[in-house]
Amino acid sequence: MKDYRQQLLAAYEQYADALFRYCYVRLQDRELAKDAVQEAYTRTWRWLTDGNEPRNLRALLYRTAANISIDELRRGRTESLDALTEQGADIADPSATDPSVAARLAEALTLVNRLEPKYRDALLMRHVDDMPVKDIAIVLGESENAVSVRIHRAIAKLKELHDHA
Amino acid sequence: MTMHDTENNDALSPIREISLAPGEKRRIRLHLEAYIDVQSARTSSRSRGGWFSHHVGLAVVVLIAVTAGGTVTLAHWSGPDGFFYPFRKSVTERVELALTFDDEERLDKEMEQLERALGEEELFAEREFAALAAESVAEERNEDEEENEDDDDRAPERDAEAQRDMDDFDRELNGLEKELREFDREAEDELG
Repeated sequence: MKDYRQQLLAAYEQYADALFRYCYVRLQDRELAKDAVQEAYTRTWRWLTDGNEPRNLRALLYRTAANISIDELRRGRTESLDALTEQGADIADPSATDPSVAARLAEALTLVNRLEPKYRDALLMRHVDDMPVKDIAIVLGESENAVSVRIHRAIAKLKELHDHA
Repeated sequence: MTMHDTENNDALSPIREISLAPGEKRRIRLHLEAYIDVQSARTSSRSRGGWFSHHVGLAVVVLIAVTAGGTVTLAHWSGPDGFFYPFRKSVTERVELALTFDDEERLDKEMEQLERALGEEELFAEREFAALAAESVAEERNEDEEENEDDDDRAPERDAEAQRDMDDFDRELNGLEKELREFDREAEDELG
C-alpha cells in the first residue's frame, strides 16, 4: 500500500501535466480538465487498493482519464469550442498572458478537434505527449499496427485540414 | 502556422504548452495525498474492526435467538396448562386490581376473576373426570381382553362339555319318544 502511494505520487509529478493536456483538449474547459485529472488519480488509487496489479501505470492513467472525459462529455456539461470562443471564454492557459499565444492555441485546438476522436487521440498521445506506440495501443485497446496506421492517417488529415484552413 | 515536418509540426506546439499552473498542480497533489491517507486509514480501521464486528454480530444474533426462544418457552409455560400459570395469573390479576382505582370497578373485576377461577376449576374438574373415566374404560377393556384370552384357553373343554350336554339331551329325547310310543300303544290296546 505504501509502495503504491509513492508510485502514484511519482506518477503524478511525471504525468499530471500531460494528463491535464489530454483532458483539456477533449473537454475544452480548464476546471473540468483539472477535476478529470484529480479524479483519474483517485480512481487509479482505488483500483490499486482493490488488489489490482498495474502493468503500465501511465497507460492506466490515460485510459482512466479518457473514460472520465467521455463521461463528462456525455453528461453534456461541456460546451463546444466554437461556442466558448464566440463567448470569449478563456480557453487558453491563464499563464499565457500574450493574446497571440491564446489565439494560436485556440486555432490549434480547433484544428485537432476537427479530426475524428480516434485519430486525434492517437496523434496527441504520440506527438504531444511523446508516448510510445506500445503504450498508446494499451490506452486505446488496439494493436500497435492499428495505432501506427491511425497516427499516420491523423498526420495526413491534419495536414490536409491545415492546408485548407 | 506551417506544417513542414510530420514529427515537428508547428500546428501542435501550442497544445504542447498547455500545462497546470504550479498552484493548481500543488492543490491537486495535496488533495490526492489527503485522499490516499483517508482511504488508507479507513481501510486499515475496517480491517482491524472486521474481526471484532463479526463476533459482536454473531453474539447479537445468538442473544436474539436465546431471548426469542426463552420468550416462547415462558409463554408456553405460562399458558393454562403451564407450570407458571398460577404465578402469572396471580401477578396479572394483582396488577389489574392495583391499576383499578374505582371501587365499583375493582369489585366487578374481583367478581370476574372469581368467576374465571371457578370456571377454570370446573374445567379442570371436568378434564380430571374425563381422564378418570377414560382410565376406567381402558381398565375395563383390559379386563375383558384378559377374560377373552382365558376363554380361548378353555375352548376345547367347553366344546366337550357342550357335546356332552347335547348327548344327554338326545338320550332324554329318545327316552321320551320311547315312552310316548309305549303310551300310544297302550292307548290303542285299551281302545282296540
